[in-house]
Amino acid sequence: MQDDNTEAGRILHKLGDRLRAGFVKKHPARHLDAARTAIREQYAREQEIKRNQPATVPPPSQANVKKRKGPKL
Amino acid sequence: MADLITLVRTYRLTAGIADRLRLSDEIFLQLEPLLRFMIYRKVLEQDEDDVLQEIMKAVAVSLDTFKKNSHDDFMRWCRGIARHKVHDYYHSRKKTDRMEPVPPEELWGYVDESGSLSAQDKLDLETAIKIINAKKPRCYDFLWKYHIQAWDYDEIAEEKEMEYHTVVRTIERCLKLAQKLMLPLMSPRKPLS
Repeated sequence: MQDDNTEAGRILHKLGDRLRAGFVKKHPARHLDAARTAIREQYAREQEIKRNQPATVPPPSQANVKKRKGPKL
Repeated sequence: MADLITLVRTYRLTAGIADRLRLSDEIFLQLEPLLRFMIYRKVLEQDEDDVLQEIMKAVAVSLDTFKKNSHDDFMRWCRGIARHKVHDYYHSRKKTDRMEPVPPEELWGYVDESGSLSAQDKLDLETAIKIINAKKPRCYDFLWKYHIQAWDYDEIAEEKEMEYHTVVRTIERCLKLAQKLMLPLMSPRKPLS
């Protein structure tokens, strides 16, 4: 992805790596609740949908299907 | 601690809410600072937390739909979500998305935090900070996105609504300018002031 064929590209990429590393150290996570809330709400919605789905009846297997008689000739 | 992509892969195989919440904490402990970096200087500082939380919620509710298996693909997917949220932010304020140049002293603050630097690292980074701040605003934005934020050409093309090849040529041109500028900066006869 990164094209660092030039010296300028190489040092800019190095700057990017250093900035990201320093930034991550200086800004630890502090909004984990935002993600948790979103996941809880999504889970509740999924459960609600499941509860409201009509129970599906499995189709009868071939073994249980009686052979229909053909019309009397 | 497990790496990010392993946690994400585990998350999509997990159905129970308690396990999902536990994994979410582990994922966002690592991911939140990276998401914040994606919007660094892209939105007003006072709005940064709000936009970040919007991005986190959007990532969280779609985590189980991410089907790829590499860290790079996951970061790319997150950047896509972040870009859309930043776009919404500007759209709601009827403003234009504009990258704010970062003052050199602020950049040094983060570089210093990143760990020990060799003499060569220091020289390279000093030069990199000078050239990125010396460029025209247009070049600054392209070089920042491509080299600092590690976006792909096609991500930049999508955000800027430009042709892929135009983006490639623009970045090449900006790099040539940067290359010209850095030669005197790196000359041992002309020490940096």
